[in-house]
Amino acid sequence: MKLDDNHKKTPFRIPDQYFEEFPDRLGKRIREESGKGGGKLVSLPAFIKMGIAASFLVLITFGIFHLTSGDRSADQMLAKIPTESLLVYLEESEMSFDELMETVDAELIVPDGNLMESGLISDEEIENELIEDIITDYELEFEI
Amino acid sequence: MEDKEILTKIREKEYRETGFSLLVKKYQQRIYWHIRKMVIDHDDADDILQEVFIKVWKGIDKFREDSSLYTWIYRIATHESLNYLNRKRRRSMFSLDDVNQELSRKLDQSSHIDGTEIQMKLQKALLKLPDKQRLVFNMKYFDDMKYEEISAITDTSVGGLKASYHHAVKKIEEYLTRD
Repeated sequence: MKLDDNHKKTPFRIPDQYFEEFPDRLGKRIREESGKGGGKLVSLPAFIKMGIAASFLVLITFGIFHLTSGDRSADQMLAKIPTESLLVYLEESEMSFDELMETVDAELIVPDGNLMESGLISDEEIENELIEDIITDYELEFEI
Repeated sequence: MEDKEILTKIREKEYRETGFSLLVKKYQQRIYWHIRKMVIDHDDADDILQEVFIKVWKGIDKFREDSSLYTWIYRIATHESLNYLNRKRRRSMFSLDDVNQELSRKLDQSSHIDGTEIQMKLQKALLKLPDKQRLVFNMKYFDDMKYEEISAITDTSVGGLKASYHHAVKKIEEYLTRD
């Protein structure tokens, strides 16, 4: 069967008035975030973002080391990190604390204890996650 | 309204919100459909669309006009959509197939999906492709974009895109013929 222009319609539909109402909903959300965060829509300087990214990379690296060596729990590992650093990271990455803990739990159940060697998360993926979550200039490489 | 005029308004403090509203109204539909075709579900697409425009709002002062506004917003939407799918895989610890099966189930069960048999079959065939190949296919086939435009958005060579699209079409035609 050959693809032709007859197949170009999609089955996707939208609620009534969706595009008419979207700009107002978005504007409301932006105003709420601005008010709540006391200027949250203003980005942190790049060097602070890079500092947070680097700190978190160190956290993950040491966290995995401790987890695999079997002498630290996830709670102990997180307790080592200053609360302010975690809060800043969570706010910047928009990751909830529960999601952070889920990530740690996932690491704990890796069979041989070595997350990198398990193939579940590679160095590259961890690095990409940090970059994706923190850097917002969207001028990254894209491979097919 | 031209992008230049919109950007000029956004850069004047007094007209910033008006300018941004014009930008949203101009691009919301194209960006929504770009996202929706990747994530299938309307509510997910709505969430991502909001995130995209919030990032545009936050980053517009840093936008250097090295690319067109349209390309820049498309790039953000592309990254947000792919990130969403990647995060879904990583957090759920699903395999590639499991997430695509979930998207396939959404095709059958989500509200705001209502198509002919052939439209549904094509979407299911598309879910057999890797995300990035599906993305290229969507932009070329459904959105009629030129390879040069897709290249600017994805930072991929035109040759690479042509090969990717060719493979995608071949796989889809095989799937549609077989099933």
